[in-house]
This record gives sequence, C-alpha cells and structure tokens, in this order.
Amino acid sequence: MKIVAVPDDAPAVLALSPSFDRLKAAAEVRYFDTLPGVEDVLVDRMRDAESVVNVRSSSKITRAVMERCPVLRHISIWGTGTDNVDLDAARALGIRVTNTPAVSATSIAEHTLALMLAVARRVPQIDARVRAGEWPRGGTVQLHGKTLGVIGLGEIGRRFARLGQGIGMRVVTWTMNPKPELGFPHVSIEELLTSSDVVSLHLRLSEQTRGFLDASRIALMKPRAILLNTARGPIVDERAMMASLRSGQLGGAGLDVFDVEPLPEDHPLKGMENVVLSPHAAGITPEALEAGLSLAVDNVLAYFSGNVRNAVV
Amino acid sequence: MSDLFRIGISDDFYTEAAEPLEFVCQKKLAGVPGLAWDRIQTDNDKCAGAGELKNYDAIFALATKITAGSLRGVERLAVVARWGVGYDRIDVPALTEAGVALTITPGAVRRPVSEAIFTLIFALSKNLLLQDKVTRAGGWRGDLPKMGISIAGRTLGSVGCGNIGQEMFRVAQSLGFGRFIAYDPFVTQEQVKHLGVELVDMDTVFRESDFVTVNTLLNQNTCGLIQQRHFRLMKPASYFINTARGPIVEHAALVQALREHWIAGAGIDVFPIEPPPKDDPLFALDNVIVAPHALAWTTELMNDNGSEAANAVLSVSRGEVPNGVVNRDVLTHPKFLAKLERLRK
Repeated sequence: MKIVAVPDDAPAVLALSPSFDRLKAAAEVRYFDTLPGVEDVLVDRMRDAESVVNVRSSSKITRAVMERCPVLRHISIWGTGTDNVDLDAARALGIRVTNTPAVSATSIAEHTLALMLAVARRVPQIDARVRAGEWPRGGTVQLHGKTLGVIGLGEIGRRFARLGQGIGMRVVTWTMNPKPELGFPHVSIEELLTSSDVVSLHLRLSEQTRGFLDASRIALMKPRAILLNTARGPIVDERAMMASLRSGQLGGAGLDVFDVEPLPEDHPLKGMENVVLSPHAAGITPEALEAGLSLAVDNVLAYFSGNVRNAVV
Repeated sequence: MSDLFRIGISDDFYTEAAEPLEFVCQKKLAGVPGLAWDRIQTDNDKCAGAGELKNYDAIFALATKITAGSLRGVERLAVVARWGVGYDRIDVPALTEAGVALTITPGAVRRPVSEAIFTLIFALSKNLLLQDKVTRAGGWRGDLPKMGISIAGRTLGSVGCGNIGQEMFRVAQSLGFGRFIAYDPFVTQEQVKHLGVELVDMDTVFRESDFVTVNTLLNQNTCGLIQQRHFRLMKPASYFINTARGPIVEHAALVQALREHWIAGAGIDVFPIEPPPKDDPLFALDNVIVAPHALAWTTELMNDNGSEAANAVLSVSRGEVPNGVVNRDVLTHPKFLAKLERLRK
C-alpha cells in the first residue's frame, strides 16, 4: 500500500474532515496532529512517504528536507500559497507539487455581496444607533437597478458579477484579457469607473496591478459611489481612497483587505462611519476549508492514479 | 373651492418622509388642475380624527391610524392611499362601510424589502457586524469567535409566499441557494412552481430552513403566529429574519431563542412596539442585527411608494377605480360608487 504522510495537522482540521476517510481508504497514512517544529522531526515524519499532505505553511519543505526523503514524489499543499515549499528544488528532484486553488471563490464572492449590501444599507451604523435608542429613517441606497462595475473576471470576479445580476444590478466589467465568452459587457476602465454606482476589485496583486486604483482613477468614480475590495489591499491607493471617503466623493467602502494587515493601531479607517471592515476573512468559511481539504486529498489520489491535477510543479 | 379635489396628508410625512413627499407633490400632483393638498393633524397615537377627515376626498397615510370613530360623519372621503403595504393600523371594515377605498403600494415595496432581507441574510451568514467590530478594535481573523458560513446550497424558507415572499424567491434564484420552501395557506403549489418553491407546512419551514424569513401581513390570524415552539424546531445553525411586522412573533420567545442559542442569530427590522423601549433585551445580544423598520426604506422606495399612492389618488380624482385596492368589496358599495360618479363630473 502507498504511504502518505500528514506531518503537520495542528490544530487538527484534516482529521476532522470526511475526506480524511477517503485518504485512509487509499493509502497507509502517517498522521501527526502536532507541528514538527524542527527539520529533523519533519523529515522523520515524512521519511518513508511517497506523498505528503502539507497542512501548515509553518512546515518548511526545503531542498534539504526533500533530499533526506528519498521516496518522496508528491507534495499536496492545502491552500494556494506555495512559499513554504522550495519549488525549484522539487522540480530538480522530480517531485510534483500541487495546491488547492479557487476553493474559496464562492465564499469570497458571497462576502463581497454581504459587504456591498451592508455598506449600501449602512447596517453596522444603523444597528449601533438602534441599540443606542435612536430610530433613524432613510438615507440608505437601493442596489436594484444600479450599475455594478466588476474589475477582474477570474473565478471570484465572475461569481460576484453573477450575484450582482441576481439582485438586479446592471453589470459592466473590465479585465486585462477580455473574455467575451463569459457574456458580461466589457468596457474601458474609464467608462467602468465613470458609470458604476459600485466598483468591486477582483484582480490578482502583481507589479502591474499594484496601485491600480490610484488617485486619478478614484477621482473618475461617480459621486457617492461605493468601493469594494476583497482582493488585495495594495491594488488601491489607500490614502487616496481615505481622502475620497472623507470628502464624501466616495459614498462608502466595504474592505476585507488593507495595505498593512492586521490593520495597524490608530489606522484612520477604524474610525470611519461610511465603511464596513472585515479582517481578511472573506475566504474563511467551513465550506471553503472543507472544499480545500477535499481537494488536497483528491490531488493525492489523482497523483496515485497517474493524472496529476492542480500542479504547481 | 368646493370643486377642488382635496388630498389630506397625514402629519407624520412632514417629520418622517419630508423629501419623498416633496418629490411626489412636485412630480405627480403639481400642475394637475383642480387638485389641492395640505397637512392634517393626528393625535399622539397618529390617529386621524373625523373632524379632519371630513374635509378631504383622499388621504395619504404613512403610519396613520384610522378607526371607526375617525370616520363618523365623514361623507366626502373616497380613498385612503397608504404609502406601503401594511394596513394593520387601519380599520378596513369601517372604511368599506363608509364607502372609502383603501389602497396600498405592492409594486413599490416588493423589491426593496427583498433586498433588505438579503442584506440581513448575508450580513448574518458572514458574521459581518462582529467582523467589523473586531477589525476596528484592533483584532484580526484569529480573534473571530466563529467563521462566517457559505450561502451556497442552503435552504431558504418563508412564512408567507405572497407579493414579497415570491419576489424574495425570484431574487434568490441566482444567489446560490439549494432549496426554497414556504408555508402559505392562500397560495397553491401551481402558483409558485415556476420559482422552484415547495409549499410545506409551517413546522417544516422552521425545521428544515437555514434561513427562516417572515413575509406575511399582520392581522388577527398572524398576530403571535410565531411562538416558542417554532424556535425550538429550528436548526442550531439557522437564522431568523423578520422584516414584516413585529407582533407576528412572540418577542420573548425570540429573545430566549437567541439568548440560549437555540438558533445562530436573527435579523430584526420590526418590533412589537415601534420605536421599541430602550431596554429591549434584544439590544444586549450580539447574535442579532437590529434595524429601525427602515432597512427597506431607501429613497427609491419612498419615491416609488408615493408615486404609486399618488396614481391611486389621481385615478379616484378622475372618478376611476384605482389600482392596489385592499377592500375589493367597496368597489360595489353604493356610497363609493356615488363618490366616483360625482368625481367624474
């Protein structure tokens, strides 16, 4: 029977997942629910395994580790980040590496919708005022019939665009490489910014997208427009965004990501009335975690069957 | 002077909805020949007196109360046009007897109320208020007491499947829900089949839904309809959302269900008494989102409510039967017919 090691399920998540049973049915599993801590322990746990499910990014799977595990042929990372694994070394040593992309897409798209609705209806602010004995009227925004501009049409952007259409918004999109087959109207970035009541960012952070929504682009946005960012903080010029929120040109913002995370103490966003904030948690739901664990196990089974999927290396 | 068609505007509009009132007067009433409108006084309970009502052909009602006593000796009045769809503060049989039509604005409210329901469903599912609070207080995601959940595949349930309930399910079609169930004794399976809604009994709605929403009007039959035993049936991870009317739900039972975590949380836009007392026990709980019976109250909604109500009043001013009549039997009432006849001249 094939041997699979799980050297780092701490705190335990894989062992609690139904997909763990599928793994145990297909292989002999060397399972550990503590962190290995040092290289010797990690190597000890992985030594006779052909495939490893890497649960925690604190386990550094370096060239040295790989060289000390002679039968290792596959590393299945739970998550999308691969920086704890030396990919060049894996390539040189003929070890395949897989990850679990896009499993959070539904959760992130839903979270973006939750932020959009909460900003439009000023939910945290209204809740606080009612608890304080007030009975505020009006002043909220209806989204039905308004225009939603979606920037970036990857898995998350296109799901959010569909949710926006679902609640009755007119959706326009801009993406670096237009995908007309998706059926969303593609417009210039200038047209998107000047015509949208809500602008939502779904770009990957790269050198091309850093500072993408800068002061001049923010200035193009409709007065009182709402900005949503569940992608990455540095895609927006945070200072320009805050200035625009203060002046009232931007009507509100729903933000899950920031320039510096956790959000530093005394950060001005923390005191703003027209924003709804969340702690880079859009992708964290039990469903997304389970989908990731299940895919990490599927990737092991696919590797054993000779059809590697979700390969990074 | 007596030939003018006179519209009385309940005084709460001037404090609660001054801008939309202005919008509607300018947009719909100004320039129409033979119309006059002014403010009417109501008492501390927003009850309109007969002394006021007798001078008007039509009334714009907001939270206005109209009783049998309000109509004593009132001969001229032909229509009460409510901005909104609830009419629990209006004595409908008394209006009918007096030959007065009551109109509501179902077209204007269904979409904004649906949007308010989804605002609460999504904010509750993602635990958004707590996330916002933790982030502002300097915490991060490791400090969240629980994760948000995903909507995809979950069951959306409704007590009531009329105008607003059906619109809610229509909007929900592409939001990823897995199943739609509803209880409504006045709707047939055939009428809601195209929405993918299964009609079930009320207990099933509570037992099987991940989100129980209330979309029924308040009347003698629905007052206190939702009780402790219904919350007992709900799944521990499920949510309760009421954007309809407070008295439909036994408030103490709701508080107990939330306090003792029988359910995961609730979104509450309506209360037994409004505004609620400052010490309402809901305000001390962190698994509830509260709103001031105004979550659907967008500028667009109020303008649309007013436009729809104004259309009804304008129809009557021309001696025509208006849209949105609640008391359909008034349409054959001799007194009402005589009023329309007079107005046609």
